[in-house]
Amino acid sequence: MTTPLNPDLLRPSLSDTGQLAAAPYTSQTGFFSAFFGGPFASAAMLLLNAQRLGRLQRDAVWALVIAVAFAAWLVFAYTTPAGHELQARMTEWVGGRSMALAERLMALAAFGVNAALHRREQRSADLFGLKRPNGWIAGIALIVFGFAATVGLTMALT
Amino acid sequence: MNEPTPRQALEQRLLQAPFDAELRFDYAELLLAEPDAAAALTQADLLSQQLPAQARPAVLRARALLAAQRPAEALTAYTKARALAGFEPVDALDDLGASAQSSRGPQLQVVGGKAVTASVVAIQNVREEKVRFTSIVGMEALKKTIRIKIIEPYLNPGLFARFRAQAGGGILLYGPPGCGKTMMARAIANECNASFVSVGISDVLNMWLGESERNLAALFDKARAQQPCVLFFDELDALAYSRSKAGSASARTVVNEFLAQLDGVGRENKGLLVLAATNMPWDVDSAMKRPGRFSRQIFVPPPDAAARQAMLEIKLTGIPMEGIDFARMAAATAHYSGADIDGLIELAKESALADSLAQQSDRALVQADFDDAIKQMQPSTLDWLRTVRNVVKYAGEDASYKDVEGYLKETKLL
Amino acid sequence: MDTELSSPDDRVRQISELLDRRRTAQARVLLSEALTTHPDDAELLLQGARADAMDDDNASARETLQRVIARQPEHFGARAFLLALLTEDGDLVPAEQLALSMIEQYPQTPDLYAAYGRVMLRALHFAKARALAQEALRMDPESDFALRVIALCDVIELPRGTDSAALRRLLAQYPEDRQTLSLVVSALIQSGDHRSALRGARELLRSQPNDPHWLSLVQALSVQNHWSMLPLWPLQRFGWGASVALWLGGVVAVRVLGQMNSPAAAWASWVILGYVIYSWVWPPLLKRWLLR
Repeated sequence: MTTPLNPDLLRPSLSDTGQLAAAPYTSQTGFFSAFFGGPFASAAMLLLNAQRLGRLQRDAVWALVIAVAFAAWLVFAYTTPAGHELQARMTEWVGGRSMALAERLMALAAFGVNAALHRREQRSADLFGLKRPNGWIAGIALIVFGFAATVGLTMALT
Repeated sequence: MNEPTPRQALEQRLLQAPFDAELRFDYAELLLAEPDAAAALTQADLLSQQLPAQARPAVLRARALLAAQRPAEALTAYTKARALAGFEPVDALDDLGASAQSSRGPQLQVVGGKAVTASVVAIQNVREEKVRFTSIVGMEALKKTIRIKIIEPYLNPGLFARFRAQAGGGILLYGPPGCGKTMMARAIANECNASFVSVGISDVLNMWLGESERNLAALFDKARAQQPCVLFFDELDALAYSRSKAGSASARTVVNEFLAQLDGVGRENKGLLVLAATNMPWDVDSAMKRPGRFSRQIFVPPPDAAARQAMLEIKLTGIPMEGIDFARMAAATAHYSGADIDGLIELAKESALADSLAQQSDRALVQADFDDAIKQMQPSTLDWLRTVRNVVKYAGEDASYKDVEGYLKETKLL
Repeated sequence: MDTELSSPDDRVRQISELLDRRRTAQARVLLSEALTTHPDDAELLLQGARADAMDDDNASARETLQRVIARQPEHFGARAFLLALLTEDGDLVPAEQLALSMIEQYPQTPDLYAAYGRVMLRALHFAKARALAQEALRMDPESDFALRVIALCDVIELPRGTDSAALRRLLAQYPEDRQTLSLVVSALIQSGDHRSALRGARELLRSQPNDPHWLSLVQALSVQNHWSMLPLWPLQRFGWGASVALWLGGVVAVRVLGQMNSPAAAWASWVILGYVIYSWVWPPLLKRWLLR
């Protein structure tokens, strides 16, 4: 046997109790928040889980990207001629609820980002049987927030 | 108004202070002096549950067994008491031990090897109790199975050889605790007109101190030397614990030696029948259950209605009773073990005694006493049966639990 | 039959063997007798802590171990056991401190690195956990503790359907070991192969029928593998991705059929709605029926 080569391995990582990761909200909560609450809800869920997992610094950027991308889409769709034309084409292909469908697709894509970023943490929580926080309250709150934010921004732009 | 007898007075005090151990000890001593060995034994059992780590209840139990003319069990209980805190010897039981020692076969020696000291395992030759199948009431289906699978092949090996029926190897009796596996093994030995050599948990405990493989080998040699012989391993899971679960290397080496000995049984001796019993068949190493070892496994269920009725009738002999419907009680006590029946009777007696003392007049046991007691009690075998039900119901096809599956379906537990 | 023993060592051995066989009640009888005459014997107290941990009383076990360590701060066994309990209970900060102090004292002990890796894994520091376990394996290539930690890391980190070399090696070396089998079952569940997971879980239940964890796992997997759950197979196998694909497929199908003015559009809507309701309502109903 030889001594370890990497002394960094023996530096404490958990010196402060505040750094301990808590179990994230379940993927089910994340999915339904995104499905019914939209991309803003999904971004908020990402932030919520990142904060619980102690990954805020890493994941806040992604939450911002999701929120900004969706806001940019709304600005484009409702305030630019090209956006109006695109809306018209979408209505032609898909029907009257084309914007809602597009929003939902984007929200599910945001959920995909969520799931990819926290895949290992979700698996660990399942494997170790960690107690998950109650998803109902957070889920409903996020759905309300996401819906209100989307409607509010849409109304402001139209 | 008649003055209460000393016994009645103590019973009244016990009803008011049921957890007063000293009082219960006094009561038990009085019962032994009367003598009422069966009642004293029940009190000793209650004290053992209350003070499991102390020797005094265990010694009391041994004395009660001796008074009940069950010397072998008395000796076993007395030996177990030695390992507990506060042990004080009793002359009568020491004498019993000494006389039993002189009637045993020679002590085991290390077989082969150098002249080094090794811990030896003493074997108890127990033939004092002539338990036979006729002594066991009820359980006809089980007795028939045992006769066909164990006794007849042993007594008529030629007949089975002509039919090329499987013979040899050991038989494993499994089932909930307290349902007579050890008694059944003893009865098998007597039916086979063979010596009975029993290895219990205390022998196994000693084996674990070292030289376990040698002790095990010596034990088999000793049994072979006493043919025809039934070699019985009680609590087989302790000796042959599953190697996939065992943490220690010693557990594995003991199992390996055991397997080697079993594999040698058929070759080296036709007159040795190896039996084992366990409450936890799932803890027995799977290799032990393969052909040539303990491939035949027989489920020993809780006593059936006929057996329970017989037990009740025997245990209530001499007790004042009125209008007791034994058949009805037997029907109402499904899954009860022998110990549960004892507990039921004690509860019923306490109820009758309480009434007698309250009304200042004796009354006999009546059916209502038993009906109330049955409502308060739950059979101790249910935990085991529920555990096995998990395997049968959820763990897929497993032929080794077919007997239990039949029992569970019959008794509507599955 | 002589059961009078002169030394605590003999008692410790007997108690340890009883605990290896999960006979905690019998072990406690011997233990209480031995502790009467040797109340401060560290090895006896350690066995007492083992018995408590087996009876799911980690708090008492930890208290006993702290007592041993207070008297004998260098007692390796007590500290190692305490580390395991702290990790299990999720008290990861003291667990890390203990692991580091033990490694400082015993830098040549690979299992300590693996144990620290386990703490890190529990704290969701995946890279560090794997690095520590690999360090342990480098120091001792035969260390099955290190292999287990790496296998756990693989189950957590590797994409679905990717084999874990560590798990394969464990299976090859210890095919009947229950810990290995439970890792395999976890890996199968993560990869969505519930049928194979059920087979493994049944094996575990057969070996320990009174374990409530395996019982509930077998019950849950039995529900998922029931024939009436077959239509939900895509959701079980592919998770949320399948949910999204099914939703999108349904929207497209209804839209296309609607544009063709086909009466099938209405039927498609009802079928999709029925499927959604079935996916929510049927599994809990089936579970209640199967577990009655």
